[in-house]
Amino acid sequence: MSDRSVPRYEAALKVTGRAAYEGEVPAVGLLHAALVEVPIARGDVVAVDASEAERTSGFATMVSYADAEPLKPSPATALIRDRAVHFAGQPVALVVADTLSAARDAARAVRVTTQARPSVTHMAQALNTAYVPAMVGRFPSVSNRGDATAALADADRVVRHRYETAANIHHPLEPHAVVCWWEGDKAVVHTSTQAVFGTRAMIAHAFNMPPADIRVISRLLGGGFGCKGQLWWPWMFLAMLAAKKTGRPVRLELTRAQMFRLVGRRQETVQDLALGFSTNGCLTGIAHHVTAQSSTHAEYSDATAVYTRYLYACPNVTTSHLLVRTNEPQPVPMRAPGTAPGLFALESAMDEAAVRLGFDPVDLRVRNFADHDQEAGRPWSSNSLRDCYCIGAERFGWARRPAQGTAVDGRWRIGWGMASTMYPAIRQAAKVRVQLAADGAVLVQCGTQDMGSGTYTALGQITADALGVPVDRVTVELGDTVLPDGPFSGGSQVTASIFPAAAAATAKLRATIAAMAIADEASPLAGQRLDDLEFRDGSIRSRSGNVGEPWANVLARKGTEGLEAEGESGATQHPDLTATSMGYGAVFVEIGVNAGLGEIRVRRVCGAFAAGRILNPLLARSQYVGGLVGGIGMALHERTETDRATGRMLGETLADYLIPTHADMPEFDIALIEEDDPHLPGSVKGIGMLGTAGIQAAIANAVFHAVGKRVRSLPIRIEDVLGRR
Amino acid sequence: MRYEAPESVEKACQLLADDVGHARILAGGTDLLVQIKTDVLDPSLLIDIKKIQELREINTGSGGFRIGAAVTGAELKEHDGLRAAWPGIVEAANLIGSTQVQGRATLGGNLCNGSPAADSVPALIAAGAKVVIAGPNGRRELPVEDIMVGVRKLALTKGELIVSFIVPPRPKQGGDAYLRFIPRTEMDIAVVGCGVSLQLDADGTCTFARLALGAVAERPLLVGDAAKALIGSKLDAKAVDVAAAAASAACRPIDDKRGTKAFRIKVAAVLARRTIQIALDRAHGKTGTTH
Ligand SMILES: Cc1cc2nc3c(=O)[nH]c(=O)nc-3n(C[C@H](O)[C@H](O)[C@H](O)COP(=O)(O)OP(=O)(O)OC[C@H]3O[C@@H](n4cnc5c(N)ncnc54)[C@H](O)[C@@H]3O)c2cc1C
Repeated sequence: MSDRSVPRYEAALKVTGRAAYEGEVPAVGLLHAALVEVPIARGDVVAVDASEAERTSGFATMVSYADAEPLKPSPATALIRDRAVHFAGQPVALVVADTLSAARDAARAVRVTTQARPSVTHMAQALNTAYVPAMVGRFPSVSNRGDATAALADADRVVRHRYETAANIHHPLEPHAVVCWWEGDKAVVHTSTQAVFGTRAMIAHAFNMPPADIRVISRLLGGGFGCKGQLWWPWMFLAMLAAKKTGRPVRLELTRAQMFRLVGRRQETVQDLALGFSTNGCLTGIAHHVTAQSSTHAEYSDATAVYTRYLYACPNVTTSHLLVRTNEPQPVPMRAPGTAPGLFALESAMDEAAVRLGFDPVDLRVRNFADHDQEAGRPWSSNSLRDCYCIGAERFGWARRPAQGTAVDGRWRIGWGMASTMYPAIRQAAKVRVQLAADGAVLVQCGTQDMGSGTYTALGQITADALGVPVDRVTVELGDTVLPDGPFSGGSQVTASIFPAAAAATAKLRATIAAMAIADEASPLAGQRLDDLEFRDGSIRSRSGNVGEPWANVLARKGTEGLEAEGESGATQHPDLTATSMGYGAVFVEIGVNAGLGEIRVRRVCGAFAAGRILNPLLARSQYVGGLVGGIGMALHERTETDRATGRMLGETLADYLIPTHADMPEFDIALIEEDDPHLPGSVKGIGMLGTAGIQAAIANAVFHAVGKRVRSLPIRIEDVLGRR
Repeated sequence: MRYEAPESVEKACQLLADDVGHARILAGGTDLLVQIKTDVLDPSLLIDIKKIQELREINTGSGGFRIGAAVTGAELKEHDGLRAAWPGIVEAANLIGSTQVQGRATLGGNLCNGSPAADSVPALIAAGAKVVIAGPNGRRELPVEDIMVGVRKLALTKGELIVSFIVPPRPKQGGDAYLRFIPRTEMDIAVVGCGVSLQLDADGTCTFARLALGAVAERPLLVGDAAKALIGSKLDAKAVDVAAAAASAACRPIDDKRGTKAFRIKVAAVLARRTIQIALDRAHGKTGTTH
C-alpha cells in the first residue's frame, strides 16, 4: 500500500465508539422533541389542539405554524409557516417534553383537524401537468446540439427505449438530529448537516438575525449522501423555536420512518432515450427526455439527461427534463445525482446498441469516445476514460467474455456487463487556517464538515505533506461556523476546494519560516538561497548545501508563540473555463442468475476510475467501493413506494426498504488511474460520486448477457428476470 | 408500561390471565420491541419469560427433544444432538436475522409473533413437532401447524403461553431440510419458505413425508398432497414433480413488494424440489447441502 494510504484521522474514535455525534451533545435541562404528523396527503390544517397533550406528564410546550409565523418566508420555512399539507406524514407541530417517550406520548395526544383535498399520489396521475423547470442543477433543462430528430430519422440503426428508475432513500446510518439552545439572542446549533455555513445562513434569514450570532456545529456525521441539507431545516427550525419558547435546550432526532419522507429522496424518473448509429458504430443522433417527480412545495430536478450531452462524441444531441408535481416527499440530490439514473438509461442503451450492431460493448464505447467537450466546444482538462476501459477490461479479463447465455456455474447462469461513469469536477470557495506552534505542532482548521468520507484525513494529509511533517503531528478541526468558511459537502468537491486553500496557507508559512531561517545568524541555514530550501521530515533543508534544522527550532529561537496563516481559494468560474473537467470510470461486473429462482447475485466487480491525482489511495478505494455498493442497492433492491390511495409510504422500515447486506458483497477490484491535470490545482478532482453511477447499467447489461432478458426498470425485480410480472 | 419477570410458568400465566390491558410475553424481544418502537403495539404489561428455567432448556428424554420456548437460535445451534437429528430445524432457526439477532430470537417468539413468513415454523411443522401450552387451566398440547390461525392470530386463549416444543426422535433413515427464498443473501423476510421431513425404508421407498410452506398464505401450510405424492414412491423425478406441483397448488399468496403471486407460486415448486432433495440426501446419510 502506498504511504499516501493514511488511515482515517478519526478511525480510533469511531471503532472504539468514542466518536461523539452532534445529537449526543449533553446539555443541562435538555428537552426532547417529537413531531406531530398528519395522515392526509393534501389539504389544510384547520386547528392544532394541544389541550390533551398539555395534560400528559412531562409536557413542556408545543410549537406549530402559529409560532413559525414570525419566521421570514422562504422555501426553508414554507412547510412550517403555512397550513397547507403537501404530503402524507407531514409534520404540522413539534412537542417538547422532559423525556423522549413523554414527548412521543404528548405528540400522539395532539389533536389535529384537517381539511383534506384530492391528492396526486403518482406521477402517472398528473402527466398533463408536466412542466420544464428553469434549470436542472446548474445546467439548462433543455439542450439541442445539431438536429437530433433528423439524425435519428436518417440513422442506419436506432435503439429507442423507455427506462425507469424508482425513488430511493438516502438513509445515512445516523438520522438527522439537532441539539440547540439560545444564549440570549444568540443561537447554538449542534446538528448533523452537510452544510454548516448554509445552515447558518438559512437560520440567519429565517430568524432575521446576524450570522455572527449563530454557531452551527457538525464535527462528525454518520453519512449524508445528499439528504442532510435544506429539507432538514424546517424541522430544525421548529426545534429552535421550541428552545426559544421554553428557554431550554431542545433535542430532536428523526425516526427511521421519518427519514423516508422528511429529508428527501432520489427522484423517480421515466426516461425516453433514442440512440442513432451509422453501420460502422458511430453515434449520429441522441435524444434523451426525462420526466421526474417533484413535490408541490418545492422544486428539484436531477441533471439526469445532462451527462448524455458530454459522454460520447455525437453531432446531434437533444435532451430535456420535465417535472411532475405530486403529493409525495420532495426529492433532493442523492449520491451521484443525475448520473446514477441518467447513465443507467444511456449505458443500458449503449449495450443494446452493441448487441444490435454486433460490436463488443467496450469497443463501441471506445469508438464513440468524445475527444473534447462537444457541448461547450472546448477541450477536456484531462480525460482518461479510454484508459479506464482498457485497464478495467484487462483486470477483469473482458477479452475472455463468454458468448451471451452460455456461461453457467452449477445452478447459476453467469453474465458479464460493463458501463461508463462520469462526474463533473468542480470547486467552491474555501478558506483554510494553519497554525504552527513553537514545539512543532500543527493545527489546521476549516469550517467545512466531514460527511464520513475522509475530509479530516485529507486535510491533515495535505497540510502535513506541504509542511514536511508526519500526519500525526497535525490536528484537524472541522465542522464549526467559528472556523474559516468552507464548502458544503456535496458534488464531490470538498477535497478539491480545500486543497488550494490549504496549499496557499502552508505556502505562506513555509515562506515565512524560510525567510526567518535565512536571516537568522544562529541557523545553519543562514544566508541560504530561498528557492533552494525544502520542507522534509519536520525540517527545513537546503537541497544543495546539505544543511538544515527542524523548523520548530527556527520558531523557538525567535521566541514566537507560533505562526498562523490563512489560505483562500475560489469557486470554479464556469463561464470563464477554458477546459471542462470531469472524472471518469469504467465498471465491469459479473453476476449470477439462479436458474429456478431468478435471484441475482453480483459476484465480481472491477472499477477503473480516473479522477485526477489521488491524495489517499486507501480513502479513494473506500469511496469507490462504498459508491459501488450504493449502486448495487439501486440496481437490485432500493425502491420506496407510495400507497396510491392514501399517499403514505409503504413500509417505512429497513426491513421493507432493502439495501445490500455484507453477505451480498462481491469481490471489488479497484484500479486508480492517476491523472495530471494542469487546469486543476494539485490535479485534484472529486471522486465520491463516480462509483455510484454506471454499475446499475453494468448489472442490467450483465443480466441480459446471462439470461437474455433486457430489464429497463430499476430496481431489477426477480419477476423481470423470470419473465413473469 | 409495567415489566415483570416471573420465575415460574404458573406465575407467568397468572399475570397474563389477571391483566386487564394488553399484556405481552417478552422473549427475545426481536419482534416485540421493534413493534413497540414503531407504535404497532403499546402493551400495558411486559412479562419477560427468560427467567423461567423450564423455558430455557433443551431436554433429550425418550429419544426426542423438548425445546423450551425461550431457547435462542444461538443455543439451538450449539446443541450437537439436535443439530445431528434435525438439521433442518436448526438451520431454519439460524436463518433468523443476524448473529446479534440469533443471540436473542427464540422459537416461541418466532411462532407467536404470528407471521406467515416465520422461518422456523415450516421446519417445525415438517418435523411433526408439537407445542406444550400452559394456561390458567393447566397444560395442553397442539401440533405446531394448529397454533397460527391467521396473520398475527394464534389459537392461544387468554392466559396461555407456549412452554416448549416437543420434537420427535429423528426417524431411522430420515432427513429434514428447510430452504427459503429471499432477494438478498441474508437478513430478510422469506418470500417463500419450505420445510421437508422424510423417512425411507431399507430399499429406499419413502414411508413418511411432511412438507410445509411459509409465506404463501395467511399462515404456514402443511401440504398433505405433497406428502401423499412422496409416500410410497422412491422419490423419483416424477414423484418429486407431483409433490412440487402440489406445493404450488397449495399456495394462496398475496402480491406484495417482496414478490408477486405468480412468482411465489412458481418459487414454491422450485424450493419444494430443492428441499426434498436435501432431505433425501440426509436420509441417505449424505452431509453437505447444495442450495
Ligand atoms: C433484524 C431482524 C431480522 C429478522 N430476521 C428474521 C428472519 O430472517 N426470519 C424470521 O422468521 N424472523 C426474523 N426476524 C423476526 C424475529 O427475530 C423472529 O420472529 C424471532 O424468532 C422472534 O423471537 P423473540 O424471542 O425475539 O420474540 P419476541 O419479540 O420476544 O416475541 C414475539 C411475539 O411472540 C410472543 N411470544 C414470545 N414468546 C412467547 C411464548 N412463549 N408464548 C406466547 N407468546 C410468546 C410475544 O408476546 C410477541 O408477541 C427478524 C427480526 C429482526 C429484528
